[in-house]
Amino acid sequence: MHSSRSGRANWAVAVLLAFATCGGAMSLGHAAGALAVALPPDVAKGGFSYGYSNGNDNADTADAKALSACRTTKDAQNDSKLRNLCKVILDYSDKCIAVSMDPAPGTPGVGWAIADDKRSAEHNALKKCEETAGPGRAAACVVDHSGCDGHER
Amino acid sequence: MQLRGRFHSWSHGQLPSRRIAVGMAILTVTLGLGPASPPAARADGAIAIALPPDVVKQGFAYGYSTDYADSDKADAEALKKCRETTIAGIRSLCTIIQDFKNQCVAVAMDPQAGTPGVGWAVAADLHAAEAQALSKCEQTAGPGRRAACEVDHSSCDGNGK
Repeated sequence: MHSSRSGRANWAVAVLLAFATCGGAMSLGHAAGALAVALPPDVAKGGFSYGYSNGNDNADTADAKALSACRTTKDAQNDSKLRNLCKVILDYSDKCIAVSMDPAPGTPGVGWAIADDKRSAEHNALKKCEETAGPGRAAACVVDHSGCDGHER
Repeated sequence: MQLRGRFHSWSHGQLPSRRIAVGMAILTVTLGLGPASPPAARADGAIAIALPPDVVKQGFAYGYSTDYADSDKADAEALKKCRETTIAGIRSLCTIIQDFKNQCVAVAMDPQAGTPGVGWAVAADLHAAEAQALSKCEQTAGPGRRAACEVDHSSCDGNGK
């Protein structure tokens, strides 16, 4: 799963279903997730891109897929500076992840969280977005994507 | 119940050439004896990192906190410690990347100046956190520098062991 928000005019979101293929379903034992982000010093100007991958066999695979997803968002593809910032920052196993952002271009609000359940991850990611969203923009934060690795829901 | 705060803070990279600075905070909670009601759990931790595009040239900074009363306080302390880095150029990059509770955190790096190896991890126990942080460092350390990676600091939050 990946997505981005440009710091410039047109913000674009690309969604990639990055579920590992485990015989068509995620099963126990395939519990490695990773999150990669490109976080410029000034998100309002430089944009934001991320990618995550759940349900992988191991952390290396999860890392590679998350990184690739972060680098292939529309914004990252159009902006080598943003693309080169993509780094894996979190690995997790049997947890849920959520990423939230202020969808308006040129705004700084982004947040992400790993938690035991999806609801908590979304809640925490929203809170982080609200904290970075700046004056008058906290209410604009929305969960962009969320998902669970392994057997968490 | 008696609570006593104790802060540790130190910095690596006193040598100008070592572009790595570290800040850490550990709030130690001392519980008094007696049949008092159970203390509020102080089990919130956070890790902040400053990860520039080029760690070799620009350095790396981090800060973490454990055993805080809530995640806001844990975040504030981790950020503060990260920003205590002496590397002015990356101070503004300090970002909370993870909050955790009853888990352990470890940060590993190649201690030599001008090298790219850094890694961090949050895991259920200290051993796992250190192993994962080392593994991440090794993955980023570059040719011939994998073996140089070592755990810089590690600590557990709440009842993490």
